[in-house]
Formats: sequence, C-alpha cells, structure tokens
Amino acid sequence: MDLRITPQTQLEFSLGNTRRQTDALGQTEIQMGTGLRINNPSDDPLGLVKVFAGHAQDMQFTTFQQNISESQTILNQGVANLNDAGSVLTKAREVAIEATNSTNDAGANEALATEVDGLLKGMLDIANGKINNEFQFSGNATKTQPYVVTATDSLGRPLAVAYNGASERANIAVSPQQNVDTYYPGKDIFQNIQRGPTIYVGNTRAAAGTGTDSATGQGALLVTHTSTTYAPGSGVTAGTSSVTGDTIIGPAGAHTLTVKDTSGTGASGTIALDGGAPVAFDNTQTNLQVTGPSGEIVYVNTTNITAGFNGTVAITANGALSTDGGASSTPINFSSNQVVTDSKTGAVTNVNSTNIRLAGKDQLNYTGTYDAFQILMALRDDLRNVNHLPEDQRLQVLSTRLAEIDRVHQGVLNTVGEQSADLSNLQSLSQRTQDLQLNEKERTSNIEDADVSQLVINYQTQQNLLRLALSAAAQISQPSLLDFLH
Amino acid sequence: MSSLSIGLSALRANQVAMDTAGQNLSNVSTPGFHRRVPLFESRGTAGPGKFPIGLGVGIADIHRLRSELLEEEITNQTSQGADTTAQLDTSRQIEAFFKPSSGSLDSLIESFYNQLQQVAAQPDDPTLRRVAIDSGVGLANTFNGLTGQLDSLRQGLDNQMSQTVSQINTYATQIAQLNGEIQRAEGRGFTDADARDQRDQLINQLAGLIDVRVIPDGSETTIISGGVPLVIGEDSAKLQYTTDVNNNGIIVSAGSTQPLKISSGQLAGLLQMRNQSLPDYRSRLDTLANQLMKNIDGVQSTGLGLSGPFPFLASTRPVKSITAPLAQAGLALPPQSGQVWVSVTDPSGNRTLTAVNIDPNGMSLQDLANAFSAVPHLSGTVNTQSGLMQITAAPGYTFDFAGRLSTAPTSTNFTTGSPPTAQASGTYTGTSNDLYTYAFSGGPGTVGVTPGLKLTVTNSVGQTIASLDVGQGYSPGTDLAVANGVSVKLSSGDVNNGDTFTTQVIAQPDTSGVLVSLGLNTFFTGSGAGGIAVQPALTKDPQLLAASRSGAAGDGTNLQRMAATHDALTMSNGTQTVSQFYASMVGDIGSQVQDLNQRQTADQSLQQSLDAQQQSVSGVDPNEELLTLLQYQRGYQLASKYISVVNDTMNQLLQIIR
Repeated sequence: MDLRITPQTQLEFSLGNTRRQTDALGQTEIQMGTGLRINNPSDDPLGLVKVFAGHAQDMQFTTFQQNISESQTILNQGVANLNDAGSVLTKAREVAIEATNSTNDAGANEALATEVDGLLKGMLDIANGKINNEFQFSGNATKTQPYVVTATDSLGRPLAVAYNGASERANIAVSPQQNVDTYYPGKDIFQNIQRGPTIYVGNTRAAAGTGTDSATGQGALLVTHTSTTYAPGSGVTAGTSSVTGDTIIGPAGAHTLTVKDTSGTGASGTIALDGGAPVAFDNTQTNLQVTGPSGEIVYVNTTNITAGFNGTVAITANGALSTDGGASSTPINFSSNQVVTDSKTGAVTNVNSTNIRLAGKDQLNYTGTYDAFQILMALRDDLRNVNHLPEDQRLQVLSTRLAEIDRVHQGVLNTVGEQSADLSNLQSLSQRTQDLQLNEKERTSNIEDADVSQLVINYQTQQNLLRLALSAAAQISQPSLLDFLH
Repeated sequence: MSSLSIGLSALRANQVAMDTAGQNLSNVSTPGFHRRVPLFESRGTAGPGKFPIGLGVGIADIHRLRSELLEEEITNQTSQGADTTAQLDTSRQIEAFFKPSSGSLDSLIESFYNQLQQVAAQPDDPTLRRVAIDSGVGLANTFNGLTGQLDSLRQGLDNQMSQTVSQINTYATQIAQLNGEIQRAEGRGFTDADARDQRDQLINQLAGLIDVRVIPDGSETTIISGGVPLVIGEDSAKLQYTTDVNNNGIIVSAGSTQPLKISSGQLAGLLQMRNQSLPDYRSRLDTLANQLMKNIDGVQSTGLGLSGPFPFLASTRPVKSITAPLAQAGLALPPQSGQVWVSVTDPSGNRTLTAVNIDPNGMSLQDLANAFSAVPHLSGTVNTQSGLMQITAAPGYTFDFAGRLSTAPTSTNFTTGSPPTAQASGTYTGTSNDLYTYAFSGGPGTVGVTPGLKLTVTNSVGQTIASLDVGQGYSPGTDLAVANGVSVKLSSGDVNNGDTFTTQVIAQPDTSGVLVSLGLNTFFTGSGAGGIAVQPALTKDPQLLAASRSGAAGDGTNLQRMAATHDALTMSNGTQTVSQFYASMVGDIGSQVQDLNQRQTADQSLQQSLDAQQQSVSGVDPNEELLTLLQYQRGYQLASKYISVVNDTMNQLLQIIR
C-alpha cells in the first residue's frame, strides 16, 4: 500500500529538507568566513591530527630559522672580528721584519715598540669584543670578560694578559639534529699551541730537559746560588758574601780553586778560580772575591789556609732553579731533567741542569706556545730590549718572533675557516629549512584550508537547493479540495 | 412506526460522523492526535412481521486509527534519538573547549617548546627567559582552564540530570493519573480516545528522557524504565539522581541505593557523558599534564640556572605522610628505584659528587632527608605539617643536582712519594652513568718526561675507551680528551705502573625521578591538569631556569635537552610524543562528535520515516476529511429527505382518515 501523505507529513519532509539545506549552507558560510575547512575537531578528526603536527613543524621551523639567523649574526661578527685580529697580526709581522733590520737606532725601535703597544691594545679590544652584550671569545662563559690584563708597567702598559673565559664552546641548535658552535673559547683561537723545543738564552748553561714543558710564551729561568763548599785540605772556606755573592754553580770539581801558599805558613799567597787570573790573599781576609775567566765569582775566607798548601781544590757550588722569579725554587741536582714548577700558574719547565755552571737569569722561549698577546708583548719588549740582551742575542730572539706571529695568525685563520664553513652550511641549511617549511605549510594548508573555488560553487548549489526546497514548501497546501467546493 | 426512528438514527449517526470529521479537521496539527473514524453499524433486528428490517443505523464506535507496532517503534526510536542527541550536545560542548585556535592547548604546547629552544640559543637573555617562563604559565593556566571547564560541564550535567529525573517523575505521575481516568471512563463502555492520545503522547515524551517498555494491560499501561516498574496502574515510582562513592552519577528508585541500568533516552546519554566520556578526557588531560611536567621538570631539576648551585632548596610537591614509603606517600609522580647524584661545592670551588640511593618502597621522606644529611656539609629536614623537605648546605657551601664532574678524582691509588694531581673536566655527553678508571703503564716515570708513559682509561664494564700519552710530549696541565666530552689533565708528578684513579661521570643525575616527585628545583609544581602551575620561585626569578649543566652563562645545552623532550616518545607506552597524545585526544573528541552526528542523522531520518508511516495511519488529511464530511452531509441530507418522505406519506394517510 502506498503511504498516505498528509499535510503534516509534507510539512515535516519540507521542514527537514529546508533545515538540512540551511545547515549545509551554514557550514559553507563558516568555511568561507574563516577560510578553513576544519573549524571544529569533528569537521575532520584525522585531518586535524595532521594539522596539529603540521603547525608544530611550522613553528619549529620558524624557531630554527630564528636560531639560524642568530648563529649567522654571531658567526659573521666573529669572522669580521677575527679578520681584524688577522690584520693586527699582519701589521705586527711587518713591525717584526722591520725590527730585524739592525740599522734601526733606539729611537726607531721605540717608535716601533709604541706601534706594537697600539696593536696590543687593538688585539685586546678585538678579543674582548661583544655581540648582543655577550663576549664573543669567552667560550660558553659569555658573561665573563675573556682577556684581562693582570699586570702593567709603570706607564700602564700590559705586562701579562690572562684568559678567564671557559674552555667549552657555546652552541645553538639549528635543526633537530644539528647544532652549530657559536662562541669559541679565545684560548683556542689566539694561541694555537704547536710546542717546539724550549730555547734558553743566557749564560747559565742550563738547557732544555727531556720532558715536555707546559709553560707558554716567554719566561725566565732564575738560577740562584745557594751554597759553596770546598774540598777539604786547603783550608779555604766560603766567604761571608758567598751565599749571595757567588755566581758559580756546579757539582764537585766542576769549578776549581787553585791555591798557592807563597808564604809557606798560610799567611799569604794567591788564589785563582778555574785557572783564571790569581788573586793575592792573606790570612786576614774573610771575604775575598775571586773572579774566574768567564767572570764567575766566588767569595772565600782565607784565614785558615793550610800551611804550605799548594794545589787545586774542587768546589761544590749548589744552586736552585726558579721559573716564578724566586717565589719557589727547586734545588739543582745536575741531572738531565729537572722539573721546575711555576708556583703561580702550575706550569712546568723541564731543565737539563747537568751543565749549569753559573748563576743568573736565562730567558726562556717556549717556542710554538705564544698567544697573540704574549707575542705582541714579547715583540714590544724585544724592541725596547727590556731584558738587556746583547744585540746579537736580541736579533736572534727577534727572528724567532716572526714564526710565532705566523703561527698565531694561522690559528686565527683556522677559526675563521671553521666559522666560514659553518656560515656557508648555515646558508644552505637556512634555504633548506625555508623549503621544508614551505612544503609543510602547503601540506597543512591542503588539509586545513578551504578550497575557495569549490566553496563558491558549493555555496551557489546549496543556495539553489534551498530556494528549491523553499518554493516547494510554499506549494505544499496550494491544491486543496477547498478550491473545488462551492 | 420504526420508519421515523430509522431516519432519526441516520440523522444522529451522520451528525456524529460529521462531528468526528470536524474533530479530525480541527486537530489537523495537534501533536499525538490520532485520526478517528466512526464505525457505522446497522441496528437491531426489530421489524413488522417475520422480516427483521432493522432499526436504522448507529455508531458502533469511534475508532482511533493507531498502529500498535509502529507506535512502539516510534517510542523506542524516540528514546534512542534522545540518547544520541544528549551525547552529541555534550560532546559538542567538549569539542568547543578543544577547538583549535591560537590559544588552544596544542599551539601553547608548541610555542612553549619553541620558546625554550629560543632561550637555548641565547641562554642569558633575561627577556627570552621571562617570555619562556610566561609561556609556561600560559600553558599551565590553559590546562587549569580546560579542567575547570570539564568540571563545570560535569556539574552542569548533574543539574541537568536532576531536572530530567524530576521531569520523569512528573510524567510518571501524570501517566498514572491518566491510567486511572481511562480505566474509569472505559469502565463505562467507551474508548476515551483523548485520554489515550494524551497518555501515548506522555509516554513518548517520557521515552525521550529514559528507556521505556510499555506493557498494555487493558485500559491501563505498565511502564518499565531502567529495569524497574515506573508506572503500574495508578501508582508511579519516584526516581532520584545521586552520585556513588566513585563520584559516578547514578539513578536510583527513591529509598534504594541500587543504580538503575538506563539503556536509552536523554538520561542514558547524559550518564554516559558524565560517567565515561568526561572522566576519560579529564584523566587524559591529567596524564598529559603529568608527563609534560615529568619531561620538563626532569631536565630542569638536573640543570643549573644562571645563579648556579643552591645554598638552600625546598621541595614543592608535598607528601601526605612523611613516614610512609615514598611510593605510597600520595605523590602524583612517584619516584622509582634509582640514584640521585648531589654535587656539593666547597667555599673554594671544589666539587664532590655523592650518590643518594632511592628505594621508593622502603624509604620515607624522613629517610630521604636523613640520607641527604649523611652527605657531607648538607642537612635535610622535613616539615611534618606541610609534608615538604628542605635541604640546606653548611655556610659557604652550595649544592646542585647537575651531575658535573667532581673536581678531584673519585678515588686515587698512587704509590709514589710525589704523585701527579689528576683532574677530569668537561661535560659528559654519554647516555648512561659510568665510572672511568685511569691506569698508568709504561712507567715508572714522571708525567711529561718519561717516554712511553701511558694512561689507559676503561669504563665500568672494562672496555678501554681511551689510551693517552702522558710521558714525554705531554705538557703537564693540558687537557687530554678522553671520550664523551670528558677531558683529563695531570700535573707533573711521579707514577708507578698500575697506579690508578677513577672519576664518576654522570649522564642522568637523577635516575629515580625523586627530584621531580618532590618538586625540587622543578619548572612546574602541583600535579595533574588541574594543579599544574609554574614554580613560583621561577616566575619570581627567571635566572633559575636551568639552561645549562655547566653553569656557564652562554651554555644552553640543558635547555636544548629540555626542548628535545618535545620529540620524546614518552606517552602511551612510548609510542607518542606529548603533542601527538594531545592531537589524538582531540582527534578522538572530533571522531566522537562526528560519529554521534552521523548517528543523529540516521536517527532523524529513521524517525522521519517512522513519523511518515505513523502519519500515514493516524494523520489527518483535510481533503480526505472534507470528502468524508461531504459523504456524511449527503447521508444527513438523505436521512432528512427520507424523514420528509415518511412524513409526507404519513400526511397523506392522515388526510384519508380525516
């Protein structure tokens, strides 16, 4: 049997249809208004999960893009600063070459030294350079000034520069798998240690030991005399100034004293050191200075010379070694390797003390270890000859400076190279991140965003359908029996 | 003279029939109205002689056109539809809370992590730190807000269900009354169609609220709802809405505690949402918040802020009992068995690492405080009232949980008179805690002097991880890279073969998670989505944000580690990240709404088709009624004519008599 259709049924059908069409139209309008296909989770639950992931990716890319540009800023600044440092070192090299020209007079040298002072100051400014209020060359301790002048001369010129920064680099994450180093420790850039043999300049006849030193730059080995004893028989004993005044050092027999008792009673005679010029003595002298052929000095007490002694006396002269200006010292044992420790820095120097014969101060040149500041200060000091080296020694030392400057410069260039490589990687990474982000945006947009042209067509269709439904509804109760009853 | 009475009966019957049509026409739009049809019947047998002609016509009954089966189906469908609609309405509200927008939880989680990544790039920028912490605050507030919305939605449902139940009680009472009326009316022998229509209408309305099984019983109707009789005859039961011990909403008969099993109707839908969907989403939010806190706090608590190690630190997540084992002390994020490494720094900067063993089943908070007190220069105290623990360092000392290398070796075994001093440094990058053993060979000799002097480094399982030249060629005091970011340096000194020292290296300073459990130097505090908040100390002082494990201003590695937890599969048994967990939760809500929406559409179209069928049986068609009206009119006119003919006949007969 067919359904009986009552006006009620017709009304409900038509109401239902109109409602459905209005709903669809409303949905389309929301999508057109927001431009989004997914406005509620229920619009497309699976799509929404992808949209969330897409948005997360997009945000992450933005962050990494920011991190990349942050790293680029730091590294660009770093490379620029290091190139400046390179220029300073080039200038220093020119000065060093000019300084080796022995025809320079003191005035010219002073002018050059003043120039180096300026270079040193420039170098300090560069090494303590800041970016974003962070120290650029202090490793990850970016709030700590890396290079601090720890000692100055009376004119305020730096004598020592210490590194206070960290030894680890700071890095920035530029992609989920990749970090790029941004702030480098200055000690790795401005030092570039390639330790060579330590060069001893001086007269003590101390030499480099077999061990490996850890002190850097330029240092001084202080060989001090501590005591002198004489082989028994002659009656010679150490004079009152012996401890401080003797300059000889050596194991028993390394130095000898030739005593001639010309009086036969020990009252008077001559004494010679190491076969040098004899010095007359008598039995009243408690502090007779005897100078050897190389200028070595002993003070002797001749009050008790054995009567009639005529011969050679073996001298044992003990001494001590110090690399910290005497703050601490190590007794000399005349061995092939003595470890002398600087009590201030803990740095060690290995000394071959076998042949030490004279007290004095040797200039130590830890080749291959100078940092940028040490080499500039050393160059400056050479120009002013603050160590009062003889001209030939001074020039010899000066000539080693060139190699040191080149090595330090190489270290700076190595870092420039590393940072430039990173910069170029960052450039392509940035490009790649942008591409990936675009892809991600597009993919998310495909899921999330409304297809506008489709929407417009849908909207038109839905409007037409609604119109149809409405005009159908308007016709519902039009034909009626009432029209035909009269 | 039955002729006149036959005519009269026809007049009456057609009159009644016209009235019925009139009644039908006037109720063309009345809900629940069933079309009525008068049933004509030829009356009686009386007649003159042996021919029973009859006594005319009468109305046997006015029939209510109603399909029992269809009506029952409609009642059931109404109940089903209301169930779906109630669920859909509530789900839509939940869906609205999780609607994706710029301030929704997903984008806040993402922006929080991105802020962390940005601070990691500039760890000592105070503005970025502040922004990252504020972003954490915003995240916590949104968690709290969502929980609040879900909770107040639940309260709303409670109210709604109370009202629904009282509506059900009203309907039940009315139905019981109608039962009585119909019983009494129909006892007098006719169908009380209007009262039945009303009762059917009420039953359908009741079915919209609760499942209804209708058992017709003569004029009366018994109604079974939720497995118990709601209406029997003129009696109706009273239902009540209440909550059980588990805070689940239940419906009980007045005076009983046995919950009814409501299978459909609005009430079933609301109960389903109230007792299952809402608590489910609520607990998923809690799980999410707790894991997020675990991820972030675990990294924060084992890092160092710009202000470095602490002289004092207090826990911020209280225990319920300071003497109960930690596993049973009411901690939302309970610890597991493991170790926490505390590093104590003395006034001259020397650091010592000490392990504190954590046994969550045997150790109470008080025991833990005692264990910290056993660490040299630390003292742990417990506040009985608050259930919190404080760790205080001796004056001049500080402590932290960053697991940095000790400044001195963990142990040494040197056999010479002037041994070297050894010092390990760097930041350990390995993945598990380890003990490195350094042994000398190629000696006896002096560090930096003796040719061939070697230092061999082995890990705790005996693998050689590095072999270092420390004889001639080694500058004493320079760092030698060992492995995994660790370096070692030796001062000058004498060693014999077999001299050793060891250093403890720490990848996970807290393998037990106790720092997170107690909220010691954590990013967040509180527990669950409702309780999550950023540590007040951190909002006050952004410097405490632990960017590093080294303490260096430019070191953001700990924050990188923190940001990396974004991609850590820590949810759903290690299959999802925090973001994915949230996304799938919102996806589930969306699917639920989508599903219910489709169910509702299906319900509606079924309902519509049932309604159409019902209308087909019981609906009033005015055209039809007009036609029947015409028919009855004609009948009436015919009867009138008949009477007039009879009358004329009578008149003629009377004239004959006159």
